[in-house]
Amino acid sequence: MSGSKGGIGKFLREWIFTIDHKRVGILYLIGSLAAFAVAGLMAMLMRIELSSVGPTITDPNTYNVWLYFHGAAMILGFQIPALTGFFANWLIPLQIGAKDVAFPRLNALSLWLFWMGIVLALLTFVVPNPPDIMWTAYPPYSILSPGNTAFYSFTVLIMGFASIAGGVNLITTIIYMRAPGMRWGKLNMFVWCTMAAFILQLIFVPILGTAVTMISMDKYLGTTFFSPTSGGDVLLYQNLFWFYSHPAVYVILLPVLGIIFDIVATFARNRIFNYKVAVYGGVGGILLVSGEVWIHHLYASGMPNWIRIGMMMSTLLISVPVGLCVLSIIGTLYRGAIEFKTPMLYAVGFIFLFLIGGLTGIPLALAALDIFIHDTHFIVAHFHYVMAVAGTFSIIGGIYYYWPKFTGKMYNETLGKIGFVITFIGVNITFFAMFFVGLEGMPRRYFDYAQMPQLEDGQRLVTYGAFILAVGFLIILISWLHSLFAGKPAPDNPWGSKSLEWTTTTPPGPGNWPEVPDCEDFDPYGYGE
Amino acid sequence: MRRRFYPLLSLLMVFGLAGLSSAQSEGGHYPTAGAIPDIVEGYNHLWREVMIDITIIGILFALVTLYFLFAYRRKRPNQEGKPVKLSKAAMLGWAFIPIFVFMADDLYLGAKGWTLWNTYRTPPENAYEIQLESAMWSWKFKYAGGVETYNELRVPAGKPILVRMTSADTIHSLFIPDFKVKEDSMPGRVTYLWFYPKEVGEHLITCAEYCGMLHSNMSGKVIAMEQGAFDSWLASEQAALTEGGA
Amino acid sequence: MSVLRLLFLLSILSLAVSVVPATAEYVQVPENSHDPSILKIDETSFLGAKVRGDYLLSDGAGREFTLESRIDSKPMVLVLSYYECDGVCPTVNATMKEMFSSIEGHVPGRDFSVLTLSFDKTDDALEMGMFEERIGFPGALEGAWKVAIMKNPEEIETLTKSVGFNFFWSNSDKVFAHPNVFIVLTADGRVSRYLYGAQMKKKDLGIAIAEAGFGKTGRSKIKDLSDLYLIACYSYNFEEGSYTINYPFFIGVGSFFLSAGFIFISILVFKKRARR
Repeated sequence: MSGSKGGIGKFLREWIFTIDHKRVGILYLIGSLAAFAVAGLMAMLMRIELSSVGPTITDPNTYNVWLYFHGAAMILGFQIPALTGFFANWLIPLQIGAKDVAFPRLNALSLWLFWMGIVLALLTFVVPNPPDIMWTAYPPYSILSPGNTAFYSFTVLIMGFASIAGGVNLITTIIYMRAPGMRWGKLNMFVWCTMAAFILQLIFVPILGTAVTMISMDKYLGTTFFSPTSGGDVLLYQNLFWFYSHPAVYVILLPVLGIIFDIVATFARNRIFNYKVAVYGGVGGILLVSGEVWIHHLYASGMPNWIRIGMMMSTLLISVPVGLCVLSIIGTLYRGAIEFKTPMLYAVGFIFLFLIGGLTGIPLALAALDIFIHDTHFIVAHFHYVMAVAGTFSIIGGIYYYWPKFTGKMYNETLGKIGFVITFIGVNITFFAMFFVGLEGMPRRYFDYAQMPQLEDGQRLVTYGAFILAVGFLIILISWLHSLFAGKPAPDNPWGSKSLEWTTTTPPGPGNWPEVPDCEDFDPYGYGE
Repeated sequence: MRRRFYPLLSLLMVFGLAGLSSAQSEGGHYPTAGAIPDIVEGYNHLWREVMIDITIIGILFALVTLYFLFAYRRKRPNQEGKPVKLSKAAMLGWAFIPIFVFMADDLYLGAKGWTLWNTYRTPPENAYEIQLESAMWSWKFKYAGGVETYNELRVPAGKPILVRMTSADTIHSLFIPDFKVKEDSMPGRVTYLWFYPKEVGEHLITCAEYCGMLHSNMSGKVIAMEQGAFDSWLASEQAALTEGGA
Repeated sequence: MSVLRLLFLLSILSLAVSVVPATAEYVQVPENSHDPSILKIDETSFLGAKVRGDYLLSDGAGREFTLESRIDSKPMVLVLSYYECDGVCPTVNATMKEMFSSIEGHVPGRDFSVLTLSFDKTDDALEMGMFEERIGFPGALEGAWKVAIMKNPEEIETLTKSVGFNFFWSNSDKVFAHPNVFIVLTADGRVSRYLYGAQMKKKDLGIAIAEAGFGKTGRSKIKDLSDLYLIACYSYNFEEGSYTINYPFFIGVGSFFLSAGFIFISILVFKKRARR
């Protein structure tokens, strides 16, 4: 990393007040990994709690706070910032040949807001009566709860501001700051995917913002937006919430797919299979469909029958654009020259995890089957496969992939591979077993399952899997630390990629390139020519 | 094209949102059916079919991926892939054929799911109706005639049961795993579910919507009794009620 | 000086503040000695309750029909009153008459019907005929609004109990004490909404009918769309017993439009610039 010639004070000033998109990105990464670590710790504690019937290590109130923090921090603090904060900020200017983002100061502001959000979220563990309302914060419970719902609302609002600022900034960057000759038709998949994700953020974040604001007003100012006794409607919140939060799933999924596309293309040294269809059909299709399916979160919530069946059909149709993307990823392997470095292993792992996660989404999409598996461990396993684990695999794979570039050091390949194998095994034990626990009827968000003692063996298996997973993450962390302190210097283009970000020095200096590259004859996927 | 996209999108969404957020209590429309269909059997049947379907798709994709990973591994350090140049027709073919295949599968499953969904939401004509009022953290069942039970849903076996639900405080969800049914209960709206206990027996009831501290302790029992036993139980409860009230 | 003035003002203010609740206490003379909670409808328990369709009724002309045939797969407003009532019943029915034909978008007879049912066991068909006359509805409305008694007077309490409607005979006042309520039934004969006569507005009745009839097969889709608009924009307020504007819905939709609008405008600006 950057040297600290002027002492620690100057070093800190340089980083904290930085407006360089690469440093902003790395600070985003540090914040989101911190959220990941704490939220992961919560997950481990919850798994220990669930490993046996009856209270094991804590009481229900504490458990609910852990669960709240795990969900909220993983989504709002880890996945969205890591993808739309770190990867988008760090990578997009490099991939489109820009010297920086369009509004560097706005970028710094969004970073600080994000850090404020992280601090606010972490205050959960300090304040009396921490929120215990789950990341969904359904009223009336979020209003009746003794916990301080405001911490949730303000975390969401601040993170929302951060991501709107980031979205405006990066969309502008993509539109106006592409290098000469960098036409729309030859952008990296990651750029396309992230841009779509930011459009979703810009459209839908305000709705979540109003919903959580109304929750806080109901709780603290005595309004009755969601109180049925005074003309409010309980169910409306769920509609508003999922109207944002379902597209939020694609805000996470799209950049995840983008990273996987780029990793696969680089390590298979192959063109993206059917690039145009992947962009317009896949990414565009997801953009179109994502806003019209949110009722599938409310299949058992007492919505009218006709709308549930209608959204069942639109939900099933999601498989079309997502299927096109998967087809393109797998097609990119065809006639490639695949090298199995750590990032590629994560990409391959992603394909399999995403297959399991995506296909188990089909019974969940069918309203009739969902009635039973809704709000059970089955759905927990499903979204962990598809979002949490596949997403995290993509993030970790992406970090390994760009590690040489942004740190200037190579990581240890053996450590990286060991880490992959252990996490892959751990993930599959944890969440595959969880499917079966869910099918036995274990509801989610349970502190205890005294009424279903027969599930103890299954739950224990899940907990063992979680421990293997934790070991895997530790090894990944060790491999990164090892690389930081003892890694060999990295060459400019260790993977032989043709993408633009690899043409600059390692690590890229201020301004990324001495002069803006000419991209007239450039093709990020121009292999085999 | 792009200009038309956003108004269209927003229109779609607002329409959606209007419809959906609104539709107040469906309180009334419980379409009814004559014969008693079996939810559990329908569920198991559809589940098996979906599992076969997704297993085939999954294995197919996985095998192709594995084959590619093996067949196209890098053999020389500087080897590059030999990308296929798709003609326009091939490109569209690789778009529309998969789209049609996916959509065909979706529609097939959708049609199957639709039938079962109607079964789920269409209580039989002669269903025995019981009212539920959930509260933190207990289930209160009210029978016609004013008999109330807590956490014990006594029902006559061999008769479809319709549960009409509201909630006193927050959202709960009546979940009876054995009968594969679940529906939220909430204040201000009336929701319903129905199930069909064919035989005498006990089944677990549990809460599936997060409702605070004792969410996981909010369990109860469906007790399916012989019709005669049920009638005499209800009568005795009722007698006790009038005695107590007088 | 100014401090004095302030103190003076404050004392006047405090006086005013204390007087208001005092007068409120004074003015609220209890109207009767009954415990009003007996008459209270336990709405949460009875919303969605099914009313049996096979009650046999009889109208002023002595014609017999079942309750089901009155509902006839459209919402029905059930008004429970009795002939000799000199209290609220005439008012309730007059209110109904006033609103009946002027509910926007809902045609009586086609979209809903009204049934005034006597709960007084001693009322007979003749009196029902007079009742109709007293309400004085024109013949054209005949099909849409009927006044009826129970064929079997013993059944009336079964019916009123099944919709949570409590009443009793007050010997001292020589009247029935009963709630002053319109009961809106869905096309399937389930209780969809209670609207209290005193506070009810015309708008409320329209929304309640829209709500009760929504999504019923056999209705035109356009009708459902216009009903959807009503149902989406208003939500029922249990405290006030009337419909209030559904603010969260407008706020949510508004925020969506705001963001979508901004994006749309930026696209327009971008295109304009790109063309230059």
